Amino acid sequence: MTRTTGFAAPSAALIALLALTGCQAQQSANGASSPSQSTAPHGYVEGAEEADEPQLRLAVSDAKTGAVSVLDLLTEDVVEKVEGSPSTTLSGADSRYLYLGDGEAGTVTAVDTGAWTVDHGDHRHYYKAEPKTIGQIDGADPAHVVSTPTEVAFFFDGEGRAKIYDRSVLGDGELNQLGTVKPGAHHGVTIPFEDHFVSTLPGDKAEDLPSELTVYDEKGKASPIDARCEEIHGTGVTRDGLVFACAEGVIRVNEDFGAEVLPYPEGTDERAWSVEVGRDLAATAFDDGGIGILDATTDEWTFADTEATVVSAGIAPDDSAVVALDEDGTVYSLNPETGKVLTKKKLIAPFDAESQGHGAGPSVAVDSERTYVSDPASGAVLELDPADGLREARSFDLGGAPASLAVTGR
Amino acid sequence: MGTRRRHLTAVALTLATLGSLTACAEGGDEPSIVVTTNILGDVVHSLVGDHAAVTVLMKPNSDPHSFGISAKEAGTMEDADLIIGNGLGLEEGLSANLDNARSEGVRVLEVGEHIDPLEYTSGGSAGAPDPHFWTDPARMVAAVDVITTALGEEVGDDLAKAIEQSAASYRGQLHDLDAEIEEIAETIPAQNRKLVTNHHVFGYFANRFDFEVIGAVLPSGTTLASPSAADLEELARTVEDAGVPTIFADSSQPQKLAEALSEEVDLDVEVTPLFSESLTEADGEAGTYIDMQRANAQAIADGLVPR
Repeated sequence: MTRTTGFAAPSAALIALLALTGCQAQQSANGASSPSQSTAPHGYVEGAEEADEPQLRLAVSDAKTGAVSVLDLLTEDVVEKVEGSPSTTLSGADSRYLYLGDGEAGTVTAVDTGAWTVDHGDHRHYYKAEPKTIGQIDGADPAHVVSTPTEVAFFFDGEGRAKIYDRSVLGDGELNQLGTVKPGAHHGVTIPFEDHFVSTLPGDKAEDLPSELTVYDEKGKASPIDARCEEIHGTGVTRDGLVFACAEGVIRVNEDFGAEVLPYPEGTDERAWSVEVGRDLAATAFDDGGIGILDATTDEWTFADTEATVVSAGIAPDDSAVVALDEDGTVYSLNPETGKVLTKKKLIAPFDAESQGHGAGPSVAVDSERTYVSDPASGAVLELDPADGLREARSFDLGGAPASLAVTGR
Repeated sequence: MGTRRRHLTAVALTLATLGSLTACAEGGDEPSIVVTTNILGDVVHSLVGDHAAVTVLMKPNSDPHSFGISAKEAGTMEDADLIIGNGLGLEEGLSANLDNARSEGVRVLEVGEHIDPLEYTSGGSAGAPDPHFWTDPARMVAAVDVITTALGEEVGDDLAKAIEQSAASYRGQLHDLDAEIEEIAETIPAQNRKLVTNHHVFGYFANRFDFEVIGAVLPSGTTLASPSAADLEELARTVEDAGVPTIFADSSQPQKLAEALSEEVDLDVEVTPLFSESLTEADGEAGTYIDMQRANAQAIADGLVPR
């Protein structure tokens, strides 16, 4: 499976998970940890400031140095730079934190971008704080990181286990390991879901891509999930359950851990290797070009063809926009409901996915109102307005080779 | 409730120290009342005066949904004679502390349960009770009745008697406030009684004074950095449909938003903030509940009365 390494940490995990974290668990600043601070201002988290609107920040990973810059999209200042090595990639991100994997060092570094939203159902609260590096989690061959509002699962392919951490204390700078699930060595993924952990299972050999899923309960007891599909790679979590890309289609897992394999849409004979998610929508880009949008509430697909293979795609956290970028540097804005191309524009230099390492290419991060596209060749990140014909609203000239992106603060 | 422990360290706070919470007095025999939100804190202060120590947990200019409390305040809660909260899900960040206090035998009065709550009619919370009852002064009168009854039950007849006069006086002030806002509202023509807003707290106000709340989504700061007509179209259509000269919105850049609307979609509209969920510091424009309601009513009238 030659594609395995090429897609070791696809953008699926990067931005797709933003939508998971709309309603973050309460992190109370009370109790014994903050004694006698009755005169201190009481923010949600000490040092945090409440704001009137989302404090959006853009994390930009440099393909050559592995460094990650955090750009404040309101002030346009780079508010944090986390140094890395060429083997560092943005293995995952959610609506607040970044997870930087370093395959050679065997570490994942958790970074707080200091921008987040707390959803109270009828309204939201917006916070901003100083970004900071929280700490490192060690393990052999770190790969997929999946974050949910309360837990983060770090899968270490070499160890064949996922280490589960408490997401709700990351904001206090704490790395608190809650447990481990250990399906065995393979290029896998574990997703915290409905108080359980859904995980891929190794195939016959460690280098095979998985073809089966299992679900672990809180005590670590595994029960099989009744759906088999070859070469599972690429996952996303919608409000209506999990989506795993595999050779024949996507495996849909519902909240009762029931599963079925749903074929890919008409219009493509190829498979997808990554899954981007918004709220109810999931998008998959296909090997020979084209992009499918799955409505997880109805399990119905739409499909739009593209001129070249899509290298990165994204869905806004509220499903309001779907944007894809192909190898030729053409950006597509799609109607999320009909899947039709609304606008396409060639905006960046062509990119040869085959000749580059993973995480080195341009990528797309889609927020509700703006979309960001990195251009490693020019050193810039473009801010586009999908509602206005992909108009270039701003351009951030960061230098270096900006590649993987994640928007935080929603 | 008569066997409740009371530590000597119980914090006694007087009206003057509300907000700074720095004074610490030994007040073993003084009744101890803990109030969660600063809006209800002001109301309770107005009722009990210096007949009881009132600890208000939520500081000025903060957020009732997600403020934290100190260990000392948590201790005060467990030793209180009565805890008064808004309820209806408003103080979700405090639920563990409230449960602790309950398990220590402290009664928690959730005022919102007793004031005939409205339900949200739209959005993700449709059908759930709306906790923001304070935007209706008449419901605050009902709240005062509930609070004074609970104070009598939990602290005793002595307190109930001692505060009879102040409670009567405060009820009178609330009735006056209600009448005053009614008068202010009547200066606004019926077709202009529309609150185009991204605030979520004015359902009770609208219900009481015959306004329509029209929810609006404001473009965020990233959008306003380089806006185009497409970004503002939806908001502009909402404002034009409503036909109002002012929208009431929390925005860090109200001026910039107004300018963008003017430049991009040729819509001239004022963007006015209102006080929503917290009092300001005592010397601010919304230092008391009554001032807050009056300031909002005036701002709404200033925005909606045709010029």
